[in-house]
Amino acid sequence: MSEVLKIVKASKPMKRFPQPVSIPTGFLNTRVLRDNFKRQMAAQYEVTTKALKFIARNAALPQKVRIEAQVQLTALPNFTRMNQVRDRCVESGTSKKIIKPFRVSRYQFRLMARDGEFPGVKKGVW
Amino acid sequence: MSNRIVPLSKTPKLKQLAKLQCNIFRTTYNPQQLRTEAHILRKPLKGQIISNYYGPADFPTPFQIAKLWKSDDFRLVIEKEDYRQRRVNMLRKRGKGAPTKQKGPADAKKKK
Repeated sequence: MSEVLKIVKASKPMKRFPQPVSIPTGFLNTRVLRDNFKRQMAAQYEVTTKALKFIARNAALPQKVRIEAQVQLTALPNFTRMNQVRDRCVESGTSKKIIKPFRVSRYQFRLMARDGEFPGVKKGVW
Repeated sequence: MSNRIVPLSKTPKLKQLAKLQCNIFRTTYNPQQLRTEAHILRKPLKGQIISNYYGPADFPTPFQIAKLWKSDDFRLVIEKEDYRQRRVNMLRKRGKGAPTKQKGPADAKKKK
């Protein structure tokens, strides 16, 4: 395993986004890359956003502090928000008809389940 | 003497009791029932799960593994790549392959 780790390095961070993020392995697509970037950023800014939100909504704090926190929260770029991420198919990159527990779209799910890639999943016959 | 229930925060003694209770059970003493929105902080963080959706970034690809185990008498076959190469070779034999890449600028016609 150590030999594998020597050869395999995390891919170079991409320059096309405002902040460098690593590229995922597996199916790649412009939209997958964009969503991956948003996911990394949302994870990175999660604590900051939560703290700001807490300060802004907390009625026990002075009004000035609360407004300041709200302004900072709205000034954050859109890619830091959790609601910007969308589940995409890991196999084909489509965003529609995703079967969430398996992270694949319905057609890819059918192909993979038929090949026996999901243990315990089999075709219903009755 | 009315028998209605007095809220905890009304009488000074009960106020003290509430304060002590909060101290013991480590809850926030909030006599005015202000919205502190502590539930925002109470929720578990989900960034780790969200950012790992597409799998780890340093997971080895089939090509990297094939390169690692390659020797003179042993070669790993990547099925998809093998199929692609065989298909391209067949097309080339029949003269139906992709055209070769042109060298140099191709804007000689545009200049006229």
